[in-house]
Amino acid sequence: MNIRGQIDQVVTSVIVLFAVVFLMLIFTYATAVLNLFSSGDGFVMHNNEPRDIAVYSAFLDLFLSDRVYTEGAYLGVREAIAAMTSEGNEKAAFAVEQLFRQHYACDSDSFFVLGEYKGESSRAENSDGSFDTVQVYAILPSRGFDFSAITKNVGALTAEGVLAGEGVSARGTAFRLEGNLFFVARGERLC
Amino acid sequence: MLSRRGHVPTLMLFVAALALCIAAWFSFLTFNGDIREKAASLQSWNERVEAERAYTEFVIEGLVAGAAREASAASAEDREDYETRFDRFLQLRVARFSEAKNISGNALGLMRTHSYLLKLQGESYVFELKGIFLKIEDGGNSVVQRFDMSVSFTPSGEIR
Repeated sequence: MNIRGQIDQVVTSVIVLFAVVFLMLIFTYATAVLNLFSSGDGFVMHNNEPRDIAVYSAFLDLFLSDRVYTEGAYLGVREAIAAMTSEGNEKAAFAVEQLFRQHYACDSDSFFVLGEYKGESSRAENSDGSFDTVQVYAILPSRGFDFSAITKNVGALTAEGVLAGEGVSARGTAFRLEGNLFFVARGERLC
Repeated sequence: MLSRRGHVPTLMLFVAALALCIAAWFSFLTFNGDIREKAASLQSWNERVEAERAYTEFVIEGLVAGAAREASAASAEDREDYETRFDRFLQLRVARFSEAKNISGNALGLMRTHSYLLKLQGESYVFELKGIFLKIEDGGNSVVQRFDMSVSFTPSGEIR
């Protein structure tokens, strides 16, 4: 009698165990299904924008820290740009352009733009049709220095970045503002 | 009757397990959307670390490529071997870069203290920098990432 009772107990326990496991599975699946429908937008794990901008920034910083050989001496790119903007040194300008073309402009969409704040303002049209007052930067240098190949996609330079670029988003570039000079660049590899 | 009474504790066990299941389910379902805020914060940290690492890797690659290019260009006028020239130009570039920009972590420091390995493999050089760390801090929190990096390039500075 006692043995039979114990056997009954074991059989009942096994049945109960399976029943509990089965119930837990049902609850787990039910929770998963409910979460699936209530998860909304969730969050995106693959937002590459900060990474891309970091690469463009590195590209610009490397270019600005590079040096050119002009008139028998090495000159940092920043110094060469200063010489070309303040003194109109066209040899320095040419050396900077050559350096960019040879070792930085590997892709057709790599570019470097130099601007200078002129203290002027202009009205710029936003993509939604509204207008903002923006500070205007001129693309330098204006004399005998052809930046057209690398600036063709850039519309207006402003303190906020690049506006109205054809194929260039305002955020898809790296910016540096140093004194009155303004640098914009984009590039993903060196050559 | 005696036999049935023996099933009571087992049935109570079943009821307790059922109650626990329902409690767990209730806590799953009522766990509020706070997790999204935490996830967004973690995602932001993750993006910052990824961006900082991408910046550092690109800078290292650029400094190495530039030094290799200059070492190659100087070969005709210099009696130093390639590795010595490479190191000289690398130090110059690291110093110039550091003047304008300070990157987080120890990558520039490792190069400045010559803590890198440059070896010739076939027709390419391999530049290895080990034990790079990045530290991103925000308030009392910080994330540290450690990694090694190797750059393969031709003597003329072309990255492979």
